Amino acid sequence: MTSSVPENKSILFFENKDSFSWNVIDALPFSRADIKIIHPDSNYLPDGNIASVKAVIIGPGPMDPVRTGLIELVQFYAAQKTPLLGICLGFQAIGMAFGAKLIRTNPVHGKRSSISFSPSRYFPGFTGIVEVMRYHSLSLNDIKSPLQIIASTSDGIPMAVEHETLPIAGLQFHPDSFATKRGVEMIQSFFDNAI
Amino acid sequence: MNLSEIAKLDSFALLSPGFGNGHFILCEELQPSNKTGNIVIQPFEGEPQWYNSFAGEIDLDMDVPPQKVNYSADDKGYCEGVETIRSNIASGNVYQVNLTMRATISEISGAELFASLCKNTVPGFAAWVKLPDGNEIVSASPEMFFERNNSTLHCQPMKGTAPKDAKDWLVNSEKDASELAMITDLIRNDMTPLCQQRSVKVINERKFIELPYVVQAVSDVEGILLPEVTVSDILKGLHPCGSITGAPKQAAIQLIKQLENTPRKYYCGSLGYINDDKAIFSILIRTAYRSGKEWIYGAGGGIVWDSEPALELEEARMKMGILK
Repeated sequence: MTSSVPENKSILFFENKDSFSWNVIDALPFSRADIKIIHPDSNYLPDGNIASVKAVIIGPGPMDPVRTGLIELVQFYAAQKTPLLGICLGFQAIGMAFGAKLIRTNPVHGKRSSISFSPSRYFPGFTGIVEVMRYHSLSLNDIKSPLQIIASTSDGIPMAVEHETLPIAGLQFHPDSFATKRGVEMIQSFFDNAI
Repeated sequence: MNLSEIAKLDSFALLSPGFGNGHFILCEELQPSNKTGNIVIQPFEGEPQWYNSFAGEIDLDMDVPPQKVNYSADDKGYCEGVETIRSNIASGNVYQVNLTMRATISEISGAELFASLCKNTVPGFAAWVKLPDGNEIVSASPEMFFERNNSTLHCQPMKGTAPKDAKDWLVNSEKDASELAMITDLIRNDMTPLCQQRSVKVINERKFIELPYVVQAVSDVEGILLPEVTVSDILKGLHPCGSITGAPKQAAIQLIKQLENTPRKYYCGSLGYINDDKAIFSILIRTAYRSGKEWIYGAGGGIVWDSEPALELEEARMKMGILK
């Protein structure tokens, strides 16, 4: 007897019309078959079987978290205590969901920076100076508890945050870029420590 | 075979040695077909057009001398376009946009235009194509789009051009390096869903190709294709190439449509030759297509936050200089 198998993908990737989304997907420590790609719009509200969701990734993209409707998404999964990793636009959505502000800074696209990582729960193997690739025009400002800044550039632009209690972290830079040398390990480290 | 004989054919594609094994290829009697064939041409805005043809390697005799090419460029609004792109970069809407302009070339034959564009050297992906519908394209492209060899997919995006004596400047240009890095990440993204998980790799981050009169920066990205991926699927996933759109692609294409005075049509399109399991495509830059008696030629460049409008205009005009 054959029957159609219901779709039961446990990893949700929120895709935000970016040209780097598949780089992130390919860097995740999960089989492609387990990743459900969702294209949110500003009216998106999560539905379906929330209990089956193992982790959520909010990917990079143009515009800002307000215009892309991502802040409510972060708040929804935070309430579920679902492991959540945000990259670039996703990082900014996490910051704004917990009270930070978004400001314009000098645009940096396709350039590497040496950033400084403090000791952290989700990226313990990266404490020190790490070379990363950046693609952003906007930056988080006034980041406050329950988020902690765990990495910054030498001129003080926040590059990574993690939540004090929930399994949530965000990276402003692109761990998925070919130019972030230990980026794949970094993503692996989050899921190893958060799930 | 010489250019004057080729000019007499009803329809053909003359392809320079980059498309083949070090020989010119002449494809004759192009017949439109549906998603199969050995010649494919896809306009920037349109769907791929497939043709069957009789292909053979030839020795080419450039018997037609290069001509002085008279052209007039429409650069109206170019500097304002650069500013509009920069303000969109500042607000986070886009990271890089390839902005181009058109020039009109007065009456010249296809053979004369091909000989003129190839007078210093024949670029790796030069081509002269006459389609059965009468459309004619002359390309002096140095840029490979992709190469499929059995299950391997290889892309070689190009960003950054300098006169040969300015190689050191190009090597050290942070702006050019960032443009190439951005397009390299974009190409990885576009290749990934066509390829096996984690098989897409950057083989060269930045290397320099030296031609007789210019030096150009490229990267190499390779992946292992999923089973049953066709050339048609590859085109669907990759066209138009990120090096002539900008990033993210969707937002960049919207700005291109808004800011450029006319559609690109065959300029910045894709041209490919398929031979068994091997397919090689070029990007139709440094390319003219016939529009009645006149030809339309395009030139432009990648606009990033560091771009200065006057310098970008100058660069686009300099690229038009290949016509002189």
